[in-house]
Amino acid sequence: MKKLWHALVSLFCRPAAKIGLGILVTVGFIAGVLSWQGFTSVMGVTNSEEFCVGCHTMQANLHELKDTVHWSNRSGVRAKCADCHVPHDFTDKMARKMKASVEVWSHITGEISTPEKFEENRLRLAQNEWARFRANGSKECRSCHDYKSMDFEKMRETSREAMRGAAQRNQSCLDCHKGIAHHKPATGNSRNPAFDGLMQAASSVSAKEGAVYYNVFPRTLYLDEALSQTAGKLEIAAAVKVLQEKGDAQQVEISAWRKSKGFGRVWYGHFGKNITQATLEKNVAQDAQRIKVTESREDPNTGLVWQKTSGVFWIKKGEVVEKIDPLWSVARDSYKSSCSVCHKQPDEAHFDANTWPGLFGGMVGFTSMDKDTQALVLKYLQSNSSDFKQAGH
Amino acid sequence: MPRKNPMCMAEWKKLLVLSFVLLPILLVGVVALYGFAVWGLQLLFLGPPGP
Ligand code: HEC
Ligand code: HEC
Ligand code: HEC
Ligand code: HEC
Repeated sequence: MKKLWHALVSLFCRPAAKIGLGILVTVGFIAGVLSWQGFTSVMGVTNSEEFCVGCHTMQANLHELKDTVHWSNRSGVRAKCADCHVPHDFTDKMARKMKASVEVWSHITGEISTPEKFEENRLRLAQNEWARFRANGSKECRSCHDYKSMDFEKMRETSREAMRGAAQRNQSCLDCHKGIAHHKPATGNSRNPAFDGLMQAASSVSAKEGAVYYNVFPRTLYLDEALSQTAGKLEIAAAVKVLQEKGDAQQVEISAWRKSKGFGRVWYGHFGKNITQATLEKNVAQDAQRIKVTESREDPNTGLVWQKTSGVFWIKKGEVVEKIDPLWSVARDSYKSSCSVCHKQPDEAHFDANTWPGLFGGMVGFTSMDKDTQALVLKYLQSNSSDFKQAGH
Repeated sequence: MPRKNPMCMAEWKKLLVLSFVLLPILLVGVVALYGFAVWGLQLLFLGPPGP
């Protein structure tokens, strides 16, 4: 160790006795130029697409990119992996490269070594990228795309208003253009964590007989207390009256409305309003022994006849809560955060219960809500729509 | 100048080693260290780089 130190000291500190200063400087200069050249070309190689997709885990991303406009388009400009994924200024680029070296390490050591493991981690990785783009305002996109150079008139009609607004706010592209280069990871499978809280609350509810409760998560309805024959599905936030509890099962009564046309499989919470409470199987819905019809009324708006119905079913215990408010507060949060990205979220009571499903269905594709949250938010919007606001006054 | 000066040889060797082995290694090492340092700072304090 000491020897090495001495060698180093003499290497650096003892002046050269025989070689001229000019030669030293010249050789040093040449060495500097060559090393820097070598360094940048290594950086170039590690930025190349071939290098990126060298690990087989990146193949999926490559294949997906090939189906998009960034792979081939009428202008012949190709976006390579590094154009979008590697920061362009030196400091951030170096930081990213070092992070990437750790990622390659995790590939080699097996943390994310197979396509399956990659898929499992995909959502997390995508979220990292989304966070990065959010923080830098999608800087990488904007080295090719610039709001200032966009001719909104030449855009498709569907793009114009959204893109004008985005340019005015100087908004980050990825707020709206998620999944632009690869398949958007399925957020559908990852459950909204807010539901866990609701289910926890539901599991500790001891239901009183004869009281009304609300379903916190879509559930199966059964015909028998052994929970063996399915009758259909109880929708999220549906109201049920608990009749009795036996072991692990709860007997509930559902009162709802259905349209007399068709099989009457879908039950709605209110007369004339398309707010679904339950969906029954065909033979169950048609079973006159089970399903009681107590009233028939014609909806003046559509001319359809609606029937007030009720039926008794079994569900698993611990799936309902006493009050609807916690459900609505989950829905409200989700609505506010997801639907205010592009425009101020419309007032719930701005539309009526039968208009919301169409509007919501057209918009929800822009958001990353999972399907249970979608169902809950839609029901929240419908249940707080103009129909009910007026009734409340 | 004598033709074979051991001193001279040794100095040339040193010069070449310094400029073509040590310099590139140091260059890469320093840049890597810098990268890691910035990354570490981003993780801890700075957050992801802004616009
Ligand atoms: C290397 C330059 C480059 C980068 C980086 C880049 N794009 Fe593009 N983008 C293009 C080109 C070229 C087109 C196709 C233009 C044409 O229609 O000929 C395009 C098209 C698009 C389109 C139109 C798609 C369509 O259906 O017409 C969108 C949206 C888009 N880019 C968004 C993004 C986003 C978001 C990012 C950042 C993640 C990004 N781009 C990064 C070059 C780039
Ligand atoms: C407020 C949300 C929003 C933001 C932010 C946004 N876009 Fe868009 N953009 C849209 C919508 C919505 C469309 C229409 C997409 C469609 O019709 O499929 C669109 C369409 C486009 C198109 C296609 C235009 C055409 O020819 O019709 C391009 C290109 C594009 N966006 C690029 C970008 C880029 C680049 C950024 C960031 C600098 C960005 N967008 C930011 C919402 C947004
Ligand atoms: C036009 C810009 C663009 C290009 C080019 C691009 N990506 Fe992406 N990439 C994105 C965006 C944006 C995301 C964030 C997830 C999303 O929205 O789909 C992403 C996400 C990823 C992820 C995280 C996991 C996932 O699939 O969401 C990986 C890995 C990835 N890209 C690898 C690559 C590789 C490898 C290439 C080159 C073959 C490449 N990307 C080219 C924009 C791009
Ligand atoms: C990607 C951006 C984006 C997101 C996210 C988004 N919207 Fe929209 N929304 C638009 C654009 C653009 C329009 C205007 C389209 C038009 O006029 O055809 C619009 C229009 C609407 C309208 C019609 C307004 C009217 O008066 O007719 C409603 C209602 C609406 N959005 C509700 C929602 C809801 C609910 C969500 C959440 C699920 C949502 N939006 C999320 C972009 C978005």
